[in-house]
Amino acid sequence: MAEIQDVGTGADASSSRIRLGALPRLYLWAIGAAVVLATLLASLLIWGPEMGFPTTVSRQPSTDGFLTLERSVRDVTGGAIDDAVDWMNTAGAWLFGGYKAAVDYAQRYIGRALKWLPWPAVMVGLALLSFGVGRWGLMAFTTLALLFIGFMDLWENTMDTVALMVVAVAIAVSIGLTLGVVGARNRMADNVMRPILDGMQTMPSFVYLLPAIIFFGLGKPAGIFATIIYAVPPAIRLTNLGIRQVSSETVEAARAFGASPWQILTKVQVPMALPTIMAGINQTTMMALAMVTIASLVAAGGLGDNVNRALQKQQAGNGLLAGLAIVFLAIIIDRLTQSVARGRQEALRSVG
Amino acid sequence: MIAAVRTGRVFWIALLATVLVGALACAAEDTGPSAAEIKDIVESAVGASMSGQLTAADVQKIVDESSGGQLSAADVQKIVDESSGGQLSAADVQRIVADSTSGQLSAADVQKIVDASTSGQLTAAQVQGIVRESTAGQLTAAQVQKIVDDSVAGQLSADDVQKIVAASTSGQLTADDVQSIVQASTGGQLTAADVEKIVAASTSGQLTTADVQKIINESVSAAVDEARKATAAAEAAAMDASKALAAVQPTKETIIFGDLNWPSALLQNRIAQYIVEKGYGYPTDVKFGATLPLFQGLQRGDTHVTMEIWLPNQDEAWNAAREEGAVLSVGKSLGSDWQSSFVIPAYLQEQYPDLDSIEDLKDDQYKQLFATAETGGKARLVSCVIGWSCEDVNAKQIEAYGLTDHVHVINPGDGAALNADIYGAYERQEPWLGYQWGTNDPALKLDLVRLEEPAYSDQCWFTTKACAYEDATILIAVNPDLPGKAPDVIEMLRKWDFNIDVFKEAVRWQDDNPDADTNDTAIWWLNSKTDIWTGWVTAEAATAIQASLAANEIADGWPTE
Repeated sequence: MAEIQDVGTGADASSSRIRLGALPRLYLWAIGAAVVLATLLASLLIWGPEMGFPTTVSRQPSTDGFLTLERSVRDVTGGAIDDAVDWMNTAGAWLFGGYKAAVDYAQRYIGRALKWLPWPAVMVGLALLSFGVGRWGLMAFTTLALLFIGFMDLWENTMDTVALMVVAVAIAVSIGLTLGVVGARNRMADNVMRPILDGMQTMPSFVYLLPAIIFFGLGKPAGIFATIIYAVPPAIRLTNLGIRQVSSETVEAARAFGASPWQILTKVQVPMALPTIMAGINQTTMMALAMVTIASLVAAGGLGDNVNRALQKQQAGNGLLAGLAIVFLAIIIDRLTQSVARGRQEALRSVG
Repeated sequence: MIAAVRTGRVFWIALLATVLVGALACAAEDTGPSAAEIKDIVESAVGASMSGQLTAADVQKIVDESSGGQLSAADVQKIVDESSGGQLSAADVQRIVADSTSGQLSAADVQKIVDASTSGQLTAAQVQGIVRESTAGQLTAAQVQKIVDDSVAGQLSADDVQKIVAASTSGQLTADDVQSIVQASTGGQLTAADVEKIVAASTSGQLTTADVQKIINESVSAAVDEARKATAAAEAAAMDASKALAAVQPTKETIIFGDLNWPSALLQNRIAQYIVEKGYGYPTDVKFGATLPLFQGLQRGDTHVTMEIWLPNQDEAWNAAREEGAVLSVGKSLGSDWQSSFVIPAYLQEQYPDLDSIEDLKDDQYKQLFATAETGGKARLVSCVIGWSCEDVNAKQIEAYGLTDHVHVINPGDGAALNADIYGAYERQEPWLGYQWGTNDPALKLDLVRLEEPAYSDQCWFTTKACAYEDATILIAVNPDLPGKAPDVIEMLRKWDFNIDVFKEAVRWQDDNPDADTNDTAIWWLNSKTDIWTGWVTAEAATAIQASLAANEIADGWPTE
């Protein structure tokens, strides 16, 4: 009984509140159980143990009237979505066409430039850069990883993947920063955005891959589109978080000095949130790399092709080699961007 | 406080009741935990075997379990049931039998195995194995009786019977058993040599006088029969034989169709099932699966009809099976439609009538039509799926046609992606150039035109590949036993003429009626294309089918989707 009292209310509540607090809770449990049991019995009685829940919406004759065809709730809903996709395909052709051409051009020239560079030169350049921002360890890793990619004859496809990443991450970051700032400043926008971001991260990519092909056709734009959807949430979330974490006193002080909202954002909030934002960009890059194989399904090319080909032809070895190339690429990009972020952070701290 | 205590009790009682109800529900399903566990194990093993996941070694494992008494007769029955689904190869069954040597299979289990032979699952060689086991005292009289019964259905060769008789030498067969054997001789199963053996067995006291008398009686009637044949009473004998056959096969056997998992094969199966069931009175069934397992099933007799054998794709397997006499072709289905080629939409060719051959892609005017930002002035050509054999073939063709500088090849990572690309472009009525094959969905639903390529020749195909793919031939294949069992069905299949245009019409109807599944489409087709299928069947069959259609019947063997 003492337990019930404690659970029901709390040590400092009055005795009359003990009863009021405890009673409804226990009744609710009983009522809840009764409702569940009643629903169970009712559904068993109505639809039987097979649970033939009625989902048929209509029974209509076929076009020539030979037979009656059943239409279910799922048919209707799915059909409506299909119609919407078809409508967007024709109505939004100019929009999709514009995105497609822009992405294609950017991707093409970046890819061409990257492939034009001889790989040993790129290797030496990146090795020096790693030494600059990191240590001997990072430099050794970069050198060995790029040697592996070069000698495994995966360079061209790796550069295709890098070009794809550059474009995808650039678009994702610009979207991420904008929406992150909007979310940080506007509660309503934040509330709307949050479930959408959850959806983008959990929705199986094949689901939006199909409309992506219908809109953009096979090729890099569709691959980049799918990559952006999957990779943009961390950029938005961490930008949002970083700006919210800037202390209100600091913002207040800036306002007191007569800074405009734009100045507060660009001179105070974003610089102070930069480490968090960089972490978001780093996450976005890593997630974009994870989409390489999926993007290859829509003919985006790159290392994903090697993985998919190995899969189709059951060549586990070839698959592993291409997989390792993706991993090495990810580690190099991760370490380089993290070092840059750390450098910035330290600079900021010394200024502060 | 009191109220609180009461509500507390109500709560606990409710909780207890719920738990009890749950426990009772569980108890009603399972009689004992260990039995339930074993059931689960076996069920999952059997489930795995359905998808071809059990090798002989696995089956051995299952049998090993039986030594620990873990498999009941019912479980073994399950295993055997799987063999009807073609899941157990001859080797597996032999293993099961081998294990009976070590006493791991009870008499009841063996009985089950033997039962399986009734459905034609056991070859003579396997039965021989079973018989060999009788030496170790594994077979009771009842089982032997069964074996003998099976001989009536033609399951036991003379050799096997000889073995049975040999077993009697070691005292395994009682007089009753031998009597059964002798009865079997009525079906012409015992040769003179066998009878001699039986008689020899009597020397060692195995056969009673009565038995020997029986044997002699039988041999006399056999001799009389032979005499009759010799004196040109062949007709009467033939009549007897057919009567005997009719007595053995009083009902028509189920005809099983291999349900290949693509639309044309599924629809052809549904239509053929309906015709066979309603017109000719054979029960039908389907087995769903991938191309190769179903083809092996057809050779073994697990399925009887496959409506689509694709050549040259399956050349190797087909030729090997045909040489062994394990399959028979009874005609073509779907006609010989184009196999694989580079296509453009028909609306595009209407706009550019001169764009009709692969050579035209070298023309700048047409190249620009397909160029995109990505291709850099070349024509965008959507080729085959990454990793498929056509990826290599198409790449070689493009090189051999001298198109390397004129087209930019895109290889999708998935067949569905390829289809989505052409659907999207078609919807927008944009130019599209790429690879398609005859029975792929877009090729059926959209109006596409094939670009001319140099004609196929072996010489070019095996060297440069500067020529088109070979046209496909699609055969209807049956198990060699089917003509004996259902000659009327074979007759019908020989007249079968379901060409690609007929099929395209069905696909378009299905497109107009998105709620229709394959079964609905088959019903629609049978109702509206009477003039086509009545040409394949006998007049009586046509009447019967039309009566069934009028009564809105569906075929019993149809699977639900």
